Amino acid sequence: MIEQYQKTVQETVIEIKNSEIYSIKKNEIVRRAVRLFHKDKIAIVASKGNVGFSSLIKEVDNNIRYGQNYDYPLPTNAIKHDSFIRKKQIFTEKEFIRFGEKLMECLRKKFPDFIFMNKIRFALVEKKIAFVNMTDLSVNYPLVDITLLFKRKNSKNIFDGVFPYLSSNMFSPEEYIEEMEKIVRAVDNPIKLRNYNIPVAFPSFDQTIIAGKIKESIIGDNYQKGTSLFNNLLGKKVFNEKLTIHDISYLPEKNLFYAFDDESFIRKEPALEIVGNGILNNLIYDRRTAAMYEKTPTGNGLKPDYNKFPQTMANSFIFSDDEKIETPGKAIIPVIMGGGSVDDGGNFAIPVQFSLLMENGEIKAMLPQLLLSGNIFKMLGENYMGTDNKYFSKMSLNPYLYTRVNVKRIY
Amino acid sequence: MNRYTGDFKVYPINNHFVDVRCEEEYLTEINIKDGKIKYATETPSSGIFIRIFKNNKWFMTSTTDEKNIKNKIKGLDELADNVAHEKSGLKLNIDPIQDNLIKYEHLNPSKRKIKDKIEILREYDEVIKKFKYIRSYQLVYNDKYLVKRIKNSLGTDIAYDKSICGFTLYFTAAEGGNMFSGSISIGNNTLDHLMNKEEALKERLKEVKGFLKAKHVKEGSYTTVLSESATGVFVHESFGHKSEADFMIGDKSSQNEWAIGEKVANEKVSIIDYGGLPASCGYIPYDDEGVPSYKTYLVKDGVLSSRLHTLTTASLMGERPTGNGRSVDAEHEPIVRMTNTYMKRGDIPFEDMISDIKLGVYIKTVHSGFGMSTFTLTPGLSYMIRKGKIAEPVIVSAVAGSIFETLESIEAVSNDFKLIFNAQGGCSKLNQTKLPVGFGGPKIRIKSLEIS
Repeated sequence: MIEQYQKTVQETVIEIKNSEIYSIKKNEIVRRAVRLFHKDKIAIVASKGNVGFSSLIKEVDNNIRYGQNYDYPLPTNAIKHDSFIRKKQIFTEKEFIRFGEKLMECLRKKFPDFIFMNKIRFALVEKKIAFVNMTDLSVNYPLVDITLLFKRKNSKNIFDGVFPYLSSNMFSPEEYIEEMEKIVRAVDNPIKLRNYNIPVAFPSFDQTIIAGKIKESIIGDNYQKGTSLFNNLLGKKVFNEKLTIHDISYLPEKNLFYAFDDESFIRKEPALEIVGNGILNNLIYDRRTAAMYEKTPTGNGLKPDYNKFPQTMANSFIFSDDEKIETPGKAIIPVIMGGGSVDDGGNFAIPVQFSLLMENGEIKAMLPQLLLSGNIFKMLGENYMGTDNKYFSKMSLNPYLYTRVNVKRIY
Repeated sequence: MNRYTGDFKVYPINNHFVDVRCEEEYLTEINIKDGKIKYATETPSSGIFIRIFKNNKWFMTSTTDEKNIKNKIKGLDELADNVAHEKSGLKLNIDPIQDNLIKYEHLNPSKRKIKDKIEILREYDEVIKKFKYIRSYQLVYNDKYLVKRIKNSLGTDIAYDKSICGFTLYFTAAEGGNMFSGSISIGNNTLDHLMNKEEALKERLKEVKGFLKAKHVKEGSYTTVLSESATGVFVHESFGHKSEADFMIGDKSSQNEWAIGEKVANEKVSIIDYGGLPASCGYIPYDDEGVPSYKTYLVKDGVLSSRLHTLTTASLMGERPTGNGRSVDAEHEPIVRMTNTYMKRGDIPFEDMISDIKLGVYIKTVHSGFGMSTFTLTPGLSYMIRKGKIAEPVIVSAVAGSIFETLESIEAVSNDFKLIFNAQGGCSKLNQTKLPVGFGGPKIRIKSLEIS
């Protein structure tokens, strides 16, 4: 049995240095992989570029001896084709270059004391997975990714701030700038607080190493081997009863486009409840570990890269709360959190290189570098405050998540 | 050698500079999880990166079809006409070079059978299994043989190859309700260099046991000693990235802060970036723009001496290119990147360096680091220093400091030296991740760092 995997990315990337267009790159790259399921083994072979499936199929036999063991049923009759590319909503190459030029012109005019850098990218992505005569899955989508770094012209930092923006729809430079302005203005107002003992509002908690530790700990294989944070806690209360966490890969309005995983598994419901009102309800399994522990696959068989075997990995997390809280008077918004660690007891320490002060729901100022520390169970348990209706940006997956942790100024 | 010795030629288009870089890679990955082979794969890969310099901007593309290079160049020329023109003021400072440094063709791991590699890993796997408190582990092996061919319209034609191999053990140790996770890496440029390291692995695994019952450090400022690898991460993350000239373009304050000739550190401190070191993880005899790798002193005897450049940043700042224009693969453009970045050794034995520290912290290994104008390190294994001796293991979550204040407060530099070779890791910058780099130095003693 042969599985064919193909991912094609066509992209135009505009590189920005010193608030000017510095380079323009145009790429179309095809990545292909073939998995051969033979007796009790799976072999994989992959290539980037012009190597076709027929060549890969000829080669895959060579890898079978050291392939992955398998003892689980293969998918049958999975057919789904999703297309999110609507011609009227996406840029042509020329339009995107004009967009980049106009964006830079507006930024230079609006923020003359700032320097902008990094890249803006427009991509059309297509992914296909098929078992010949059995399954046929595909999805395509557009993506505009603008992650501009910026700094004040007199700043000693490599950069002071960042504003990520992801969209699958066309938008105007003015829309982006309107969203970004609150952050840039805050950077122009650096302050130090007397007291850092105030709530912390995580703008994208899903991206933190704390969420990463939770994602690692809900992997069924880790749980069964006793190397999870949640050892023996399945079905028990782990977090605050207000908190619910879903694992999700399909929510097109938030740029999550995959209705199937890399093992051709389609969930009946796109969201899998991991924690429901504080109780750990589900773990995640790929096909291999599901068979090993006599569980059902959960649609979490994902490839870390096109040339790798799928393994159990969490998708994005959505944190929800039945009742929204009133936004606290003051809160710290940690934006760039590079480095840090979470130990096997859930204790964490995370340096925050770029953070902002929120006051009465508005972003007001930039704070110095901080260190957040605490314990996962406490921060999402007794210290968890809730979520409100505000988002860091229009495209944020989650609203602000408010909690209390130890906050210390580093510099 | 390989298919990219093909006879394609690179000419200027309408008098504009053109360069073409061909890359061919052979990758192997083997994953052993809890004693069982999870998978073993081999992936060949190839690509061609093409650029033209027109109207003061770069226009770039990549392809996998070498027959299509001419059309791609023409397409880029047309693309350039869609973009607003600027007066040309930038002159690329590059001399044409012809060189062939293919030397790993027969020594590289892609020439060895996958079963040989598995046998080597099996030896290490047997060692790991003897440590009962290693509850769960993955032994991840990678090798990469890379051939590059760089040509430009001035007549440059360079070929070189590079070989990397190594493995990392990711483990979770557990005993008596306590857990400790970490990793141990061994890397080099040929397979033979990976063999017979079982004793070293045993020593590292024995050391892990002490951390199962280790307590968290009491937060505060401590005299801190960094090991060779921790010094390397500090130098790379804090200082190396700050020396990259692309973040300084058009920004007078960064240029002023990085004032060449200014004293910024103890005179015993010299920091170097050099890609020409054979058998190092960051080996590149030429960068991806065809510039030779220079031995660049970022700091010499405590004085700021240079910064790292691509062709463009060097031209914009009126300085000499340093051979630091690197890309992670043929899909990406060269940007300013480090190669092997290290601090020069000093003259003090380690024992003497710590002998008068009443209470301090020794950072032996580091998971990761991050730097802007300040830096943070996330340690792996750390120890207290008490009364001049290495004492009990301790859990340290973060080490933080200001880059320039820390450089000034380096009190001692040891007489030993290591350059770290990690085949699994790499440097990430913007959207180009896991670029192989070397980092290292001696042990250094810092008067005071914030430890959490």
